[in-house]
Amino acid sequence: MDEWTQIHYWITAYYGNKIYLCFAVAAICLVLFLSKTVREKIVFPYIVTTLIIINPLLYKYLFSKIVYWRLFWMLPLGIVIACAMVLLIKKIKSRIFKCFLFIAFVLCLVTKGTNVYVDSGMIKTQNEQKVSMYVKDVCDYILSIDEHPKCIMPNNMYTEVRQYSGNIEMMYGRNADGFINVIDDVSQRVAEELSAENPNFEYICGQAYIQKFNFIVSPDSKKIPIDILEKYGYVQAKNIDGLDIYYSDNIGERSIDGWVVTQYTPNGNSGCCYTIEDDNNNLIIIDGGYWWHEEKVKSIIRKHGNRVYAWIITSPHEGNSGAFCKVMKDGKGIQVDYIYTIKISDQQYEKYKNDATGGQNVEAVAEFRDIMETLPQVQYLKENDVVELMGLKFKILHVWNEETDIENRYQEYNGSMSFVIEGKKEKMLFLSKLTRPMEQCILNRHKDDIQADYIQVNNRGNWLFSHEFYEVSSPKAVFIDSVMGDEEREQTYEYFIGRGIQVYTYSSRANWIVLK
Amino acid sequence: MTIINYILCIIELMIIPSLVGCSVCRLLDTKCTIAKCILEGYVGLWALCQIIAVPLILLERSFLVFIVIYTTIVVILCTYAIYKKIYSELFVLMRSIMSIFSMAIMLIFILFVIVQAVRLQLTNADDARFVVNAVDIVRTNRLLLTDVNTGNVLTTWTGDLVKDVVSPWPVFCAYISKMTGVQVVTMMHTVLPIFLILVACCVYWLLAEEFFLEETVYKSMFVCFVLLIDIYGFYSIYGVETFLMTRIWQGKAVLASVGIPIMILAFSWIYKEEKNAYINLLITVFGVSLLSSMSFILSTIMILAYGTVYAVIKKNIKTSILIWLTSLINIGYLGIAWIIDRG
Repeated sequence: MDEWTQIHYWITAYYGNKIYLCFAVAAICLVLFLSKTVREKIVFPYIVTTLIIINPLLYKYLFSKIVYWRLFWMLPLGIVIACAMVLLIKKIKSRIFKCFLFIAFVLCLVTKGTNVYVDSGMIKTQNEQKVSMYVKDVCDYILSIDEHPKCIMPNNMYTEVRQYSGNIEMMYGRNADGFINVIDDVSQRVAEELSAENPNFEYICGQAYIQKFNFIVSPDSKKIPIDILEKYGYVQAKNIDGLDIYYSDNIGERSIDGWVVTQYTPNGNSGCCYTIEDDNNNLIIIDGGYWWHEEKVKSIIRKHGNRVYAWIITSPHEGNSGAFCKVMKDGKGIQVDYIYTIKISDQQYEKYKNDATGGQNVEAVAEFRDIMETLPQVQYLKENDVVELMGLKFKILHVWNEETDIENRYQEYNGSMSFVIEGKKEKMLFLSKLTRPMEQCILNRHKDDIQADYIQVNNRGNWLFSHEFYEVSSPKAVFIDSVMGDEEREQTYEYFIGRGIQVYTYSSRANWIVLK
Repeated sequence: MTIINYILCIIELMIIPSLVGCSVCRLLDTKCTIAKCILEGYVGLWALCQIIAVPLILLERSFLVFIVIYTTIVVILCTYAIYKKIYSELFVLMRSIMSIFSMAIMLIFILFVIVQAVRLQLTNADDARFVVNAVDIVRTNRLLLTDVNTGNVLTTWTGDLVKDVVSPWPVFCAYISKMTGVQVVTMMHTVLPIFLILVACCVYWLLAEEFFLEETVYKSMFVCFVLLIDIYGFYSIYGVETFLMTRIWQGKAVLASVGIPIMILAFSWIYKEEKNAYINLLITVFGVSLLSSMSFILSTIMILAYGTVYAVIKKNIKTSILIWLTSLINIGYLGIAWIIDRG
């Protein structure tokens, strides 16, 4: 019955004007008796096609998975209606009656139909390209300044801009509305902010500056504050058709003076995905989230020319390694130069399997190990290893070791790789999924390393390291890989906020800082 | 657009399709009328584009390679038409057609619809993919390896762009644009509708010929009625009529308003047992494949339905099987799309 309801819904939606459908049915019946040729060539095939289309079984298993209403295109009813009209006129002997009937049919179509030129919203052509005039004006102005501009545009423009000129590079297009392909979270957030009633211009301008977009177009009803423009080096260049155009003439030459660390918000509370980008658009990915975050991760990689300089997988937990495994299995068109992760020996894996309880995904860990074996660029890291990537120094503080195994539980959490990232002036501590029992291991051997400006809080704020640990670390901002919600995480959140520490969570999409 | 652009558009979108159509008609050994030549020309060019473009896209060859191969074959077909003096048949027919009064009214109708198509515009968000794809092909010389949203280089096809790999309508539009020197967006929004509406009218005319044989008055009347229904057929945003009148430059709109009637016409010729009608159906299936990936499903269902009716009416299972076998083309392209999507 459900299929019938849906089929009926689509028939109603497709043939909005019931009179048209009645006309068509009447025409088919008429043609059935009036002409053998039309009956054989049109009516019978139409009937068979209708039986195929309006079939609940086929709908359930096949048509519901495609754009169903397009199947009605196979029944161009206008042809049958016109055919029936002409056949009727042809049947009549008297010429006067023929003329009368012809006029009657024309009047019927005109009075009962809906005129596409009047009711579809068509307007008089504004230019030979047939794009909105304000789009053309803005594009012409931008292109007069820069032949290959990089722009951030509001949502009423981004479908038309690249039709007018392919030379205009955009941060996002119709993918911001969920069409064509998947958009990365940062671009999505910028698109949403620009459409918001009170846009976060700090976020928009910051990302425009980092990604070296030299134009920002925004409705003049939402002015970008001057202090933000000055901070990121933009000026208001012109106002065209109610749109403010902001421009930076030296964006390509300016350095971000650090590395951009972005916390993404993969679906699922246990997912973890971070990126680090430098001035040259090189990319390091840390984890990636669950397997269903794959397309999002690919969209991030796409923004970096489909090349990942290094991919660090801190834990075999599916919330960390799932998307990575899926991307590497598909692997099409993506180049990953280096992969860094932890080694899980056969004995460690066997013990983990025996210790695992029902809630742990042993298969995900097995798949992680299997895939790592097949990748030639993998390097397994050990405690105290130091790796230099894109000018940053990664010092490893913890991997899956004897202390992990001694705990006899949750090895994929307690065996997570923990490290400190050293920039020129600042540090970031990454604790991955380590739980409270592992705290002492780090304190025992790396107490001098844990002082950091930024911390990725262990295990998404659950089973948190002690307050003493975080006091020793004394960060100015922390990242919690979760939305708030349960009591424990709320307490964690309150704890940091209470100490004047900036907290980034999954409550806001794609948080970023510049690690100096 | 300059006068040279206008002339090139007429050559590229009227004269070349007509000449190619003449060659196709001659090769299929069928009657060569104006409407049929234009129609067969377009279907033939679409089929040719589909057959050449898909492998080149998969092999990640440049647009230039496509231009060279495609143009060479088109030139050969045109030369064949001129050499065989098939074009002269056209003018003989034209003189006889133009003398019929009823056709004048029909032509006024057609002209009205064409003028309205040029005079009016409707912004459609789907163009962010359909038009921009063609824009990027011309701009980058790469076949569908640009992210239409951003303009960034792609190393593989993602999301909806996978559909375009097996139905590369934007490649055809990009080619026309490149050869005429007209900006892609102008070509698709302003120039192409003129000729595609003309092709649609040719299909209506030929369908009328199937229903009313050589009775020109009724054939003209039929075309007028269909056009009137197209104008007053804005019963929903999904309808064939809406797609024809508001966004005919998009592949899926061409499929709905031109491709499907062409399929019906191709089956009709098979029912009539015209010479080489089966080969014509094969060309049509290839040609329609270019327009939209949806064509793989639609034309397969149509092949199934029309083949079945043929088997029952004509009691000829052998031809029906041959009809059904043409769906292998669609299955093949669907398979390619599936493989690309699965990586």
